[in-house]
Amino acid sequence: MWTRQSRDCFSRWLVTLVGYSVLLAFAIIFVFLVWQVWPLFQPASISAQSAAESSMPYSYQVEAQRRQSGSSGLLWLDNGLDERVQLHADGRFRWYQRLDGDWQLSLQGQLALSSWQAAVLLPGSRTLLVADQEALVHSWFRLHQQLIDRPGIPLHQSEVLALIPLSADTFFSLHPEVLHWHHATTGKRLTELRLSDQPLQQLQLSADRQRMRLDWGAGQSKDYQLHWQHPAVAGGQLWSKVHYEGRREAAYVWQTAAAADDSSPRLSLVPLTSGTLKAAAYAMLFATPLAILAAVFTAFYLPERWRHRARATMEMLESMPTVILGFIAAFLLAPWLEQQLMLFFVLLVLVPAVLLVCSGLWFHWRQRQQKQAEQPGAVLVLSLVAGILTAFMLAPVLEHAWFDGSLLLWLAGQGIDYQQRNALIIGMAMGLAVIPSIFSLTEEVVFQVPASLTQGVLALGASRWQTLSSMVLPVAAPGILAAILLGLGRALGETMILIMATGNTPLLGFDPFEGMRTLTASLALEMPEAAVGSSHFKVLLLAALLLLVLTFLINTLVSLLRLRIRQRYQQL
Amino acid sequence: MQTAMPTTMQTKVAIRDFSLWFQHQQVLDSIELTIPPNQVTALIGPSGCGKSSLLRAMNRMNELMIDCRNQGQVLLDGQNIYQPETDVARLRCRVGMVFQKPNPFPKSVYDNVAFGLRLQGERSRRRLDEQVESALKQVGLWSEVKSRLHQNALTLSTGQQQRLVIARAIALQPEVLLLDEPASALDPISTLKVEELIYELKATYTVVIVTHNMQQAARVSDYTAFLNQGRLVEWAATHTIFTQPASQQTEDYITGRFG
Amino acid sequence: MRQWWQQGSPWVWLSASALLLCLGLFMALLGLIAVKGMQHFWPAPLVQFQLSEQGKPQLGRLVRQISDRSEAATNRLWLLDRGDGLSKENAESPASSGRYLLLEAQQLLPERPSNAVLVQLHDGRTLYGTMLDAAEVWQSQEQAETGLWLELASQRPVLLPAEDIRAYWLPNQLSLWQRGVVFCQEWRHFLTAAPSQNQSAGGIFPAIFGTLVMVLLMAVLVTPFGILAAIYLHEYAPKNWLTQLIRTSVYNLAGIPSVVMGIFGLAFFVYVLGGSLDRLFYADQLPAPTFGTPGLFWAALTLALLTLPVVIVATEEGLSRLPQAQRLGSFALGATQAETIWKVVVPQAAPAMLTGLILAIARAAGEVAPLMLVGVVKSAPQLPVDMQFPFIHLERKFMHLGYHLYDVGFQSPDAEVAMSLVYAIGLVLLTLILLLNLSAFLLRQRLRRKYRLID
Repeated sequence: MWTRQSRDCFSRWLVTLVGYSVLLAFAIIFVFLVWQVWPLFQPASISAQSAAESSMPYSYQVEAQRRQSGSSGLLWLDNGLDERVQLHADGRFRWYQRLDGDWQLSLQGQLALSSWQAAVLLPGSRTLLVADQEALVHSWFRLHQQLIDRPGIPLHQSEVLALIPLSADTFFSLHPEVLHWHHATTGKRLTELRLSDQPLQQLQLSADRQRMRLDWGAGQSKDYQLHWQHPAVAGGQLWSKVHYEGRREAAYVWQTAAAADDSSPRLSLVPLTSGTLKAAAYAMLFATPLAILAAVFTAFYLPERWRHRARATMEMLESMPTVILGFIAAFLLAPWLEQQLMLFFVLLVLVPAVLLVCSGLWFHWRQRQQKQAEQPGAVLVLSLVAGILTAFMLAPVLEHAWFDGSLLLWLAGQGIDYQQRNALIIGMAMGLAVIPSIFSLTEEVVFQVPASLTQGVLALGASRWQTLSSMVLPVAAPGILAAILLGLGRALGETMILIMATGNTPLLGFDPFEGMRTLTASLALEMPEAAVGSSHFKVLLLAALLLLVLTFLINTLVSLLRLRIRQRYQQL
Repeated sequence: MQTAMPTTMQTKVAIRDFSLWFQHQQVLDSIELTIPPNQVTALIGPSGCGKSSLLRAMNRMNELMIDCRNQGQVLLDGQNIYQPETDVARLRCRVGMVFQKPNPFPKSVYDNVAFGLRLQGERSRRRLDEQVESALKQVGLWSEVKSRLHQNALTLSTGQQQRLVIARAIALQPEVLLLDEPASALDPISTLKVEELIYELKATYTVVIVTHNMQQAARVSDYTAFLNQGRLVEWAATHTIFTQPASQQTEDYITGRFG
Repeated sequence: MRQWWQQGSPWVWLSASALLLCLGLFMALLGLIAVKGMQHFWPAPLVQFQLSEQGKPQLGRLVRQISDRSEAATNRLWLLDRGDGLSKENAESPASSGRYLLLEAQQLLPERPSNAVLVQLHDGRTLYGTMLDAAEVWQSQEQAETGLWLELASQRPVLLPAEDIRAYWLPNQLSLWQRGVVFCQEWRHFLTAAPSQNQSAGGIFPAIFGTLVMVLLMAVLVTPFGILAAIYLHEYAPKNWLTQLIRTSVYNLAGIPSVVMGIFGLAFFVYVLGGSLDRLFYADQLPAPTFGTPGLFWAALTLALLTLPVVIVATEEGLSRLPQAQRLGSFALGATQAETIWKVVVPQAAPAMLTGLILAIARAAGEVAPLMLVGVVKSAPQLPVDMQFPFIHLERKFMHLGYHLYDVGFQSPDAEVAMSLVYAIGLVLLTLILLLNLSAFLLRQRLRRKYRLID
């Protein structure tokens, strides 16, 4: 029965439930991402398992291998696909490669060691691992007709019974009484398994390489389960330099589409993170001065009616879909800048210079006339236009005089690579997207500075600007900082402009003439193609989590600062 | 506290040892007050003395403020309204209230008056019409608005709006009517009308009025209570208070030496 | 000089020009998109050009002038559109077989033949040719089919069957009024037809329709939720740390990058929720997923989550501007809290809620990144709403204006065709969003005036 009380009660419950569920929604996003990403950081492990009936297809005879290399001083290694290495006891080797069905010698020489204990060619790869006498596994791979040396993998025990390949980038090293599991690419030891002191006869692996059987002979064997869901991340590739097979040196690499000789994706978040930071930095560089100056002027100098109009226009600009900005940046701005790079720089320098000169002249003139020198009005518009026009006229002249007619060619001559879609473009396009956020908040906090303060300073005979810089801006500073952070948060999370106008190459560094690939662009472009549950998928989720945490921190800081400024205004 | 009242008088609302805190600040301190039925009781005192809070305590409107705590009893016909089982909505129907500034809903005049009745589940159009008409007639607004019952109430003048919200309150036929400075936002003529109205209303209702205006208290009320700093200083028949106040504070206040 | 600096004159100048620059850039951007978008439909005259001295004059449309700065001297070239009428055999050389051509000024001929015709085919192709008098051709060919005889770049006249032709006009002899009519007709076609030919021609109706359906569905999801949450925060919530936490999470929800929300939508809504739905209700169709794949519903849900803070903040602002006296008046008449909220507060704050909803819709209409992940496709074979039961197909993929823009601009094989089309799409999208925002703005202004009246 619906009485008035029960209706009241129901309404309270319903509304409260919805109110709490907002919190719940936010928590779910966070917890879900953490839960998804968690397995990435699960270390690899080996656990005992009850013996299964089925036999395992890959088996390694520990004793036989030792005997072979010991007796003849010669070992044949095979990657199971198209590479074979003949290795002598003294370190001489001959490297064969299968081309069109024939084995051809592609490389021969002497390894940089005189004796060795065990060696292995990792399955499906071109990496040769050789354990020496001093507890170090040397690692080489063949790149065309060359042998590239990689950092060695330290072992924890000097006596090596065998090296047993598990996958293209992990292997076991068998020592007396212990089995170690290593990651070949990063050299990290994943985990270890203690064994009895009996000599191991045979090690078998299942086809999916998730199970392992150890055989000590005489019917004594034991099965193990191998847990290694995300070896590409377990070795710490996300944030450190890695020397991948097929490359000449260690690097941060983001390369998800596996090339022909690749077995696992290369997932370093460093280039993407640096790309995101670079894009945000250039956008802030462009947007912050413009937005703050414009906001200060709007709040402090414009009459109420015009202030409202400026605010409304900025609100409209804020709602501009970024896909449109991105497209303008890529198709209009980028070709234009490539043609008119010189003009861009001349504008950058000349317009402020002309403005300053005009302002000085005007000030002087007004003073001669004994008039107030504020609120320039039309003169300002004229000098702005004059500055821009001068830049247009001067740019070709300067380009001829200084750079033989083409700045681009000159840059190329200096070894600077100019990409059409570069950080300057991003700075301008994303700057335009960020300006309204910074503007709105700055304008608000500057405008809300209590009038009692400003009137006090004005009454002392200060000019409006002096009032502004000596009293208003220091008081409003936390609010302006909040505005900048808000803009930064938006720049970090922006996607469409970055997809469209960056070129999407994962590059490191802060070169203004190069593009970048950002976290957000990678998320949007790669997520639909990543296999659910794969390392790639999870690393993308990790990138999303990273962005989430970053923006969370920024937003929390922003609300704290806003709270602080509100309290400050109330006190005054 | 000095009270000089006939002990045999009837009681509509009795406030017993009532104290009230907002956050950590005590607003009312052990108030003892009796409101006689069908009389006008005026609460006077300097601003911030707690007279409005005392008024709101009589229909538990204070609870709508954040962080409010009270102690003691307010008895309406002998029933403590601060018992946990009290139906607050029902209580507020019995104890109507009118605020300082007129606050009609942005609905038609008719809907404003019928608002409380509809909440009570009155659906019959005929009965609603009757009660709206009678409420408007009681406040003397009927002749002024009968032709525009379905116009937005915000189009009325401020004085009319204030009488409208009184009509809205008495349409529910409350037993007690609380008026919180009902004339302070009005011009002199509207004030006069409202004062006349209060005088007429006491025939039917028990009226408690908070006022700043000493003359108003003298004109319309039968009893007057003087509060200062959350305490009841003096409570007596109006003519007594205004002619021979028992306390020095009261005298200072009504002669305009402070407040 | 010192005084000039001390009084802050240079700073005033710089800040004023910063404001001018910001607003100027915005206006220039709007103007540019408007002009370029309109240009796409304006029937410009066709010109004649010769590839060589003796070459046969051909027809084309001037696209724009290009200044070639690769050499020391700046060289002005014309980019010319030859239409889709070219076939391989009649191209002069493999190099010049493309639809677009760079010409030097002297290759253009001054005369503009009045019988030059522009034909739009149903399959999205555009042909430029010379219209021939049907009677003349019939004499030689002796057959009478309905259609248009056209001389294209090749020598032989071609008959275009009438059923292939969507529209044609003679651009060189249209009066201004007729041009206006063609312009309007082309706009109508653009807004109501489906895309054709790799998206680079035809209309954008499915994209508009998909955007609207998605946005409406999102509005249905987000409105009750956002309004109730705002009511909780403003009317019910006690002042304690939990409320503070909820408020913080609203602000943080607003700050989450939209693409992260898209990732969450894909990984949680689509794969987890959708996957479970499939296992529970559509097990017979597995492994082909029904809800376990991106689709309309998940896109709407993701955007609802994204725009939730917009609705909450706007609604709460409206609630906080409603004078407290209104609530007290209602309570004093014996109303319960629910009655006060639903009969007094909500009706008066409704415009604020509407404002929030409009802002949310404007935001959702402009978002692309999350949609790329949760359900938008470049070309959807079916509309998400049709006459088949259950009429709204929540699991279908759909097209979206913003994504269509991205797709046409970046995935299209023919960048030049795409360019002018993209401006037109951008114009439609921008108009939609600016109108929505403008109406939200005006609504809010009106509401503020009204509250000032009540108080």
